[in-house]
Amino acid sequence: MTVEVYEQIGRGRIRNGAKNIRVNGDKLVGVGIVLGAMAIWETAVFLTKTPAYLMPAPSAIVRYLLGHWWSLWGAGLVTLAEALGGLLLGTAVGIVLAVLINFWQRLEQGIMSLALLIKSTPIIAIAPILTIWLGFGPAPKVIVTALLTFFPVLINTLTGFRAADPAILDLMRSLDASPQETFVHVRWPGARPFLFAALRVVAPLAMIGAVVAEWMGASSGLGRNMWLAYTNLNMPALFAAVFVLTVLSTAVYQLVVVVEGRALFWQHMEKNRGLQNDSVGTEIK
Amino acid sequence: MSPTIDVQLTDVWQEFPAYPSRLTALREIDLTIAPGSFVSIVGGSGCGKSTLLQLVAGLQMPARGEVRIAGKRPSSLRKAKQIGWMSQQAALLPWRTVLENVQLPRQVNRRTNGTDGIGAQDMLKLVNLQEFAAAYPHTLSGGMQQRVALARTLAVGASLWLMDEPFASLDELTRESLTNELLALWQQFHPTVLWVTHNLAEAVRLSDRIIVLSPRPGRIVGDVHVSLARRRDDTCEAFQVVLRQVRTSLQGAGS
Repeated sequence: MTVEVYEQIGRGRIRNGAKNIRVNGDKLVGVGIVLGAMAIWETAVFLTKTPAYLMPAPSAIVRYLLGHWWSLWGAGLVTLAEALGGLLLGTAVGIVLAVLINFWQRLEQGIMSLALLIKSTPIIAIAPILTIWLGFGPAPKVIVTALLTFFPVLINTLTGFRAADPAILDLMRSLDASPQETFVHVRWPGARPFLFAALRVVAPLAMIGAVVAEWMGASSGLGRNMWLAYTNLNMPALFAAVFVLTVLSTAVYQLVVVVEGRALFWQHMEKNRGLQNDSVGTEIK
Repeated sequence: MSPTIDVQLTDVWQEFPAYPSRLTALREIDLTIAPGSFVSIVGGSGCGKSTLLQLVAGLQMPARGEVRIAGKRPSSLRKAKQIGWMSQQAALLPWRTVLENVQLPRQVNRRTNGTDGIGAQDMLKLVNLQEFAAAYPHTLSGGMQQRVALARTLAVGASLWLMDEPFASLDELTRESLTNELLALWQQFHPTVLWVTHNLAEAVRLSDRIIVLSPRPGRIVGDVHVSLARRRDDTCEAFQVVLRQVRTSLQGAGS
């Protein structure tokens, strides 16, 4: 029940009414838990007299956030742009490779071996090399992020292409549809849920990829902020940057969820079918 | 829609590689089906009924023997969009509306499309779904989904309908009303119909002729011509006689 209402709130269907009370109540509980944890954290730091360079109190982090919000926001935007660029590039590469394999099965072994090789190379080893080659600008960040994101997209999209309903494939063959027509009408639309499942995993990963690459040397971005704060043992600054990163990751994830809801509208109907009584269906048989 | 399409199978065998030895699915199938007739293929599960249909559609190649439709290979019939295929699953595209699903056959293999095709809307009218043109498949019941599949089959404009238990997963009442509608559509368009079923009464109710297959390897063990006037009454004695005849040949095959 609550889950369903949350979904509807998320899509902006219900703005007021009795159901909102329940939802607001749940939200209050959530906020309460977070605030409670903060309070315990604050008290613990105060009572144990832990110095700020080891563990800053929430109040110190908030103070830092308020004092530096403009530069944090700027750094966040840089990282976000790099992450989205890399995500876009990685997704495009993943999809293109999956399409190539779909049409030329013989490429599968080669592409998969190469992809697996790249996938299993630690990103922490690639990032500095790319920074040496491409400098402190956004290019190496975009590439690192793309390297981190293309693989799940490739695997999921390919799985989606192959998950096409055999009964529909038989139908297409009976119509003498070309492989291209089958791709356009059946395989590609059917693979979209798989693609979005990959994007949900990969979107927060993209932010991490960008930050890791920035950590290796950057002229701006959250990763650079973190690195500076770390080398100066400025813990409130480090925590503040992590906080901004978390907020942005969540936002990117939510963006994917919203786009998914639009693109895969028929899946909502599938899900909701069990909840509504199927009045249309029972009228005529 | 050319109403004269006959199907001829000559000494058709089908085998599948299986452990530990090859599995023979069909053997010595010799069968000639008259143009415009409604022929049912009955037999127990796994006797190769569906395989036979796939062979006629050219979705499988026979291990031995020949399949000829109007004297041509199945593949050229598919190219000419002369094969209407319908399976137990409605096989609708969930992201397309009912109307868009019915439009699918004319959106692929376009070169073959004539200019005089009946519109998808009219197809929906034929199966009494015109009000649901804009609905999505998941909002429809199983019976209505199969109606959409039927409209889509009509939209192909084929003169050979290959139907693999299309209504088998529906409840008894829905199934009966749909088979009656199918019969009416057959009488209107007069395609040659190959109808696979394991429901003997249904076969007798629908067909001009019933081909009985033995358990694996499937082989023709009965060929019953039904000359009762349509619509047929399940309860009358003549109907029961034919039904017994079909059942006897099925049991004689040792199933």
